[in-house]
Amino acid sequence: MWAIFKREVKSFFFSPIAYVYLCIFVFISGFFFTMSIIPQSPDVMPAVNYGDTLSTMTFTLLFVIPILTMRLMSEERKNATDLLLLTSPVSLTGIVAGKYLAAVFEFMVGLVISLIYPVILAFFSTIDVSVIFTGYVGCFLVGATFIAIGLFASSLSKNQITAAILSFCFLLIIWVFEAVKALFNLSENSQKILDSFLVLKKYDEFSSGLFDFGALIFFISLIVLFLFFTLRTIERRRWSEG
Amino acid sequence: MIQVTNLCKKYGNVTAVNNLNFSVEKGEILGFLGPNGAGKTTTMNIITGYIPPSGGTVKINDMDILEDSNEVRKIIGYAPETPPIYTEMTVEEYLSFVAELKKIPKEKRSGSIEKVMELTKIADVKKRLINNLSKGYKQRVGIAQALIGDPEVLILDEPTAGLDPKQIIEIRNLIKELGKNHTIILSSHILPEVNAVCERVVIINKGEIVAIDAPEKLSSSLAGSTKVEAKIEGPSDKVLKAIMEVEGVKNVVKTGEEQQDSIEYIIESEPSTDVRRMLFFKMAENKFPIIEIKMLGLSLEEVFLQLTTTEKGEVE
Repeated sequence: MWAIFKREVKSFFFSPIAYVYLCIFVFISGFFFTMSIIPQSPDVMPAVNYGDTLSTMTFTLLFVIPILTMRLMSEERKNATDLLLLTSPVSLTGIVAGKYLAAVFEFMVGLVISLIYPVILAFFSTIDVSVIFTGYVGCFLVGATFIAIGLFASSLSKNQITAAILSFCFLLIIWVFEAVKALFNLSENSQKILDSFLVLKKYDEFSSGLFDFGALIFFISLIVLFLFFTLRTIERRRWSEG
Repeated sequence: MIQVTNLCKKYGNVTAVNNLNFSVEKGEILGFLGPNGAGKTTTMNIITGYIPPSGGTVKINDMDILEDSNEVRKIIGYAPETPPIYTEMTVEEYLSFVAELKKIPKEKRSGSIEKVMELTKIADVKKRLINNLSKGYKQRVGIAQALIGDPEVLILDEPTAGLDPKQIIEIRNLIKELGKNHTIILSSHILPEVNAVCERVVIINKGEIVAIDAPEKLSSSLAGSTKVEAKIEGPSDKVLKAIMEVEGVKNVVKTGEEQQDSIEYIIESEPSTDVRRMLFFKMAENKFPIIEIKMLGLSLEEVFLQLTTTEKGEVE
């Protein structure tokens, strides 16, 4: 598993995709950060809530995570290197876990870079460390969940672009869910049921400085579920297509 | 060593491989011959555990490929038709990744990599990106990858595809060399290759085995009779009469027109008898000089065509 992890990370940082991803991530998060600190009027200093900035950044993960995950499985199939992995004495679970952890690691690199913003803030104002901490934990969990979904999408197609579009669609559905909820006049109970499926909604608690244990379980369950789907997809293809 | 029993693979209604039975002894080089789409790659993919069979079993060293799949994988090296290479790595990086993947202990890795690069003659490009290598080198990296960790069983799917003639000869020699202490299954649609390297040949067509035997036996058993082509000087009627007197000759036909006194004859004899020596003495006795003489065994090409183009049932 670690062999796969290491190779994946190495080849990621060798390819331009790594820098495209990091550029987009740093640009978007930097943009939102800047917007949040620019004073609305010259004489009023804005009350900077970094939790809100993180929340916006988390939203942008919808667009950047597919870049990160699109090649994970599809490229192996396209180059026929999956043959090497699947005939080596490594279990399928090991392969999928190695790939997943590699993508999570790559995602964390971007997150670590963005830590520079609260550091900058700390020079000019007081910052709420607990909000930043839980905010980052939440952001990490959302990202990790999106990566699992993206990995699953990548296992569905040989083509990277198709995989990216697929994972973008999956993530978009999650987002649209939240919008749909606002459209309909739902009863309280059905609202609650719908709420329990909303990924981004789960993030809210984190961004306000609370550590939501239920949400943690929710994210971990989603990750496990999609990793399981990925395993099944690959296994099924071995039986039916070869 | 390798035991394949009633192996089947179906994709929906399409049968890719149907009821294959064969075995490979330890240290043997088995050739897998068949036209494109005959099921060679499918069979190899099943043996290596890449895809599961729809029916039947494959046992390697008495271990089932499905039940003991992790153990079996440790003793198989597989070089697929398209080399499974990561083009953004250097040769050395790639091989060390494969060594790690195959769970070679850390202290043995670099030794194993060096040895494999030596064998496949890729040591001179070890620092280069695989992406920038020629097709022949890529192919050899693909074979090198299979040799890492010195597995007992090697499965090579069209190992010489895309190589130039000199490289083909090198790879063939390498395979022969490896055959001394490895069990090898080699697939090819190039007949001289199988002829040159393999001790036994499985001819497969439309997913079924049509023949298994040593290459030279395959040609004689199918031919039915042995034919000799000879160019002999002398008056044809007398020569014909003399030839018929040679022991073992069944029939003789004059084929060519007379050219500079010599005439071409096709001499048919009982299968597995060689009439060439007797013919020489007979002609010498009669003072009819033999200008040219050669054995007309069925070439593997002809055997192959005969086996794969005749209707099922006609072939014994």
